[in-house]
Amino acid sequence: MNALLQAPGHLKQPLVHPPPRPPLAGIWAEKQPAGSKKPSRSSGVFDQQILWAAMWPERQSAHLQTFNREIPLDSPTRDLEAFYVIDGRPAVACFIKENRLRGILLEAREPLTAAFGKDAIKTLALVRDDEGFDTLFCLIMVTGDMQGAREALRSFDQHWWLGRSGQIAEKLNFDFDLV
Amino acid sequence: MAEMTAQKAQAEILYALLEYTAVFEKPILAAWRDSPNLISAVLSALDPFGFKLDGVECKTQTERLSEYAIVFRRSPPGATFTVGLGKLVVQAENVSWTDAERLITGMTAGINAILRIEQGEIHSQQISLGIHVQLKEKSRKEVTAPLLNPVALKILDEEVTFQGIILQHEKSLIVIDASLAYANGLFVRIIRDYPPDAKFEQMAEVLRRDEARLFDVLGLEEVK
Repeated sequence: MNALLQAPGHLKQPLVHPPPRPPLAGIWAEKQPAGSKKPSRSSGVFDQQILWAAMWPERQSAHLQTFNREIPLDSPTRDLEAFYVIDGRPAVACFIKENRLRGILLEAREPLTAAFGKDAIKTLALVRDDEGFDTLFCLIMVTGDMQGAREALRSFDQHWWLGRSGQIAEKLNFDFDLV
Repeated sequence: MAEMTAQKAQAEILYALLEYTAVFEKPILAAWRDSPNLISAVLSALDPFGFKLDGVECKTQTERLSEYAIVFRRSPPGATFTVGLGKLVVQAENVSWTDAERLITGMTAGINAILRIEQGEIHSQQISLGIHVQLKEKSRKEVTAPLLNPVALKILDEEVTFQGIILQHEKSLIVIDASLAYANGLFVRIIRDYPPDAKFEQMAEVLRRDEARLFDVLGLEEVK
């Protein structure tokens, strides 16, 4: 028997004139209720936005509203969430706001990716020193050897961080964690 | 004897959207004809849960009757109760399991208020849960790798950056995908269809088990 005849409706290619939507079919192409306005096209395997819009164009605007709902617009961590894992969110968000670190953290995304690769997990966490002063650390989880990790950090420092760290080095730092 | 339990990877649910849909047996035209009464009845039922007149919107600027809706928004935000001609939809954000009983009480009160006016009946029910889960240490690619047969990885010759799944059952469906909103996050959607006589308590219990099993299968431990 032809396998195509058995395939569930939601696995069909989007049609120009989509058929009426059955109860459960095609749900995988639906919305992810979440934060960022313009998520990367390639982030999700099922790329909900694009397929959803293709199959049900009349509902696209409602979908985008849903998409933009979760992270409050005044959140200092908006736009950072899709790149950094945030440990201790309320305190980190407050620290970023107080010290105006959002801009530089946004700017750091590209050089961090260039130095450590896009798959490395980058975690923002507050670290308190013996004297009670907090510093926001961006810890990059690196798999592999110590030498490679050091090289990556050195490259990041030389190409980007050292030129910007002057005024904020006491508030923000970058390091790696071998896993 | 050595510890045999596999180490669980820490994960945090950063956002959850619970959606309940009840499709009416017939369009509730009578209730809509008397929409002031409908609004009054629903507001009275939902008032203890933070739904007030300020949060009511009538969406009638559309040519399609099926898109007409009266939306009740809770204050503080986080829950909506939308009544259409053919269905009603309840959405609640970031509901914890400790709030389940209160949510069920509210939903029941609102739905009963509508059905009393119309003498209507429910044709089918659906529960959908969408969650964004952020993995703290393990990469999402690593966590979802066991879900896919390695043979599938040979289909295209480029390196795989992430793998997700869709599992469709007779009356349920699960999607595991990469989150578009959170770094190293997974987006999971679980959908279950129910007959009209299914109780909220039953549906909530099944959903709770689904969530627990999801974490178990993926080897995750929830951190708050």
